[in-house]
Amino acid sequence: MVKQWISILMLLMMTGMAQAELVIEVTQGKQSAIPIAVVPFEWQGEGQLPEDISGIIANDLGSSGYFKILPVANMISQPTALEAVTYSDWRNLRQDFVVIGRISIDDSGYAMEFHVLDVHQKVELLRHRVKGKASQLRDIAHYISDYVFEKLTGIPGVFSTRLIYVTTNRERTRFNLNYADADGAREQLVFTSKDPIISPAWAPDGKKVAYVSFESGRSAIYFQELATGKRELVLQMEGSTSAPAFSPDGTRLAFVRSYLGNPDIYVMDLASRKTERLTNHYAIDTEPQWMMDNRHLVFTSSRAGGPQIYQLDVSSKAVKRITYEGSYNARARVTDDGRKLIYVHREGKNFHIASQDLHSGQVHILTTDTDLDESPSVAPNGSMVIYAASEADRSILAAVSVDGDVKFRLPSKYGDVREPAWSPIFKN
Amino acid sequence: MKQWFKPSSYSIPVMLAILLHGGVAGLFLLQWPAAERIIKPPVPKHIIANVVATENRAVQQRQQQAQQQHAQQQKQQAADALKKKQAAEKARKQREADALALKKKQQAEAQQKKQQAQQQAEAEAQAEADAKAKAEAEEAAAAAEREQQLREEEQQLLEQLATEQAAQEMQQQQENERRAKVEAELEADFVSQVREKVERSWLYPPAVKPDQQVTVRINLVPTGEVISVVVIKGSGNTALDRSVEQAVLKASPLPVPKDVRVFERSFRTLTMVFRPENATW
Repeated sequence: MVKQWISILMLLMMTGMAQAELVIEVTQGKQSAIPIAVVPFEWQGEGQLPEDISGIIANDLGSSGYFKILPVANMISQPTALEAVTYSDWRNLRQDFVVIGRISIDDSGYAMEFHVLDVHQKVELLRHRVKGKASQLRDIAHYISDYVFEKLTGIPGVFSTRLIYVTTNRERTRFNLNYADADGAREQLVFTSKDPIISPAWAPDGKKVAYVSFESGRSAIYFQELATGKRELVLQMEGSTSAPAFSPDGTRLAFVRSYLGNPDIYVMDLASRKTERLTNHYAIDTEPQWMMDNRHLVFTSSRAGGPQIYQLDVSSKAVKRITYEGSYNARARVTDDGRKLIYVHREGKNFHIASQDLHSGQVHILTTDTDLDESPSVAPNGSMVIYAASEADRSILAAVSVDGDVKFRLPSKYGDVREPAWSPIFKN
Repeated sequence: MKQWFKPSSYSIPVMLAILLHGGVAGLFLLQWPAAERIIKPPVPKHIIANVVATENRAVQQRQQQAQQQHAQQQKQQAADALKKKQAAEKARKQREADALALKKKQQAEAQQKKQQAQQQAEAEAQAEADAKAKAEAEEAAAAAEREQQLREEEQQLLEQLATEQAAQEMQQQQENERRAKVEAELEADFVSQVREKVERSWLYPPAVKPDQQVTVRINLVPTGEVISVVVIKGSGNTALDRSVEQAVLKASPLPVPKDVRVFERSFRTLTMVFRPENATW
């Protein structure tokens, strides 16, 4: 009993002591770009390196919106080895992190070693060594960017991902399906036709794409393997078929079939190739997109008058309306973590990309500086949205961070660019 | 009456049923108010920690502490006063005893003189003896008077001491109150300065949720320089934890009070809680 009392007393004293220490609460930080310096890597071989590795890394990190890159010209020193780093230099330049590295070459190819340093704690946070062939230098640079991005932000980087999109010439006599790095570099042709190509979509394994081509005179859904270029006509039905969308588990394909002028949502089982009608409404039902649970679809429907986003339970076929703000909301995409719905929202005469928090319902307009924004596609880590926008009477690709803070445009060489689709993260 | 007890009659069961129902109804009447549904007021899911409240709590704590200190000091002072009083009393008794001894000595001397006088000249005049007796009486009276005076002085001194002490106590109390208030204000002022400076340097990574929390313990030197930052309770997100450590180091030196007492008490070791409440991810 006495012991109990003593322990209670001790406890009281301890809590008293704990309370005596001052506690300061900080609740209002900023979620703004982290200052980072990417020092040009030291090239230990002869001649000129075919790619500017540290330049690509700096560009990757800078374009993500989560990092602010220190221009090389502003650097006081350019260390390439750990021993040569003077932390106070970087602190004076108000940097939080520094990336340094060296590139060497031997018989087996290029080897890159890099370090990420924490300027304030004055420690090396991570070091890594990557090897590759000359043709892989850009991939290695993106790999390093992903690695650094993930370590410093806690979310996976998407610099090694790809985009597919459709380009057309001004006369609209040539349609190309293109494939490029997420930064717009290394553009390649997937398929070209004199007839329209629309709604490209990635298979979840990232090896194959689906798209709609009018080459036969009528719309049909094709699959094409990216590595081999092998094409397959998957679906051509009476009426028109469009907007293919793979389920996240890769077993089903949702699509739209318009028969007698009434578009509805259908689904096809990819193993048996059997199709099933999911909606049956006299209004337009279109643009299906799977949610990560493989069970729900979001789609656009005019059943309430103007286009709005609805959710469809594939097994019960129950439909629920999701968007209520404004008179026009269409072409929804869901982030992989199911947190946000990204769609096209009309505000007055302009079309902008909006994000809606699926939990709180809060709507946030992401783009204001471009007009006639269309076909948003979300990066697989949920950090960025790529979309087509109109600029000086042509269509270009632009990207915006999901918080709307960072915007940039992707370079395009050729005519109009439309319908970008962001690939999943490739698993090696 | 008799027919009531007939087995074929339902009267008794009917009565019992009425009684039972009546009883239940009565119970309901009694119980009704207590059975009223208590609808809980809606409690917001997220309790938004109000920074001002923390400050107030801190100030309250400080005040409580100050009050406690105060009470203790007062107690101490009372004890001191008591001690002083006791000492004064003791001194006074000592002085009284001294005076008595002196008187006795003087009396003894006078006796001696008288004996001598008797021995030397018994024949000397009775007048002389008279004079002596008179002187003796005078002397005694003077001694009594001296004693009286001494006592009065003592009393005065004591009274003066008491009033002085009271005044001092009051002053001390006011001084303590004032100082506690000043210190609390000083502390609150620097707390907000520290918060602002660290807040300005805090850039958190993208994928954080508003309810994630990082607690760090910071050690400072009197110049405000950060000696160490240790995450004592992480958020589970390494990037967020790191952003907090960096924020504190970036904000170094932190604004701290020059008052050493206040610094030592509240700022040498600080606990800071970081929560990205304005995160939109």
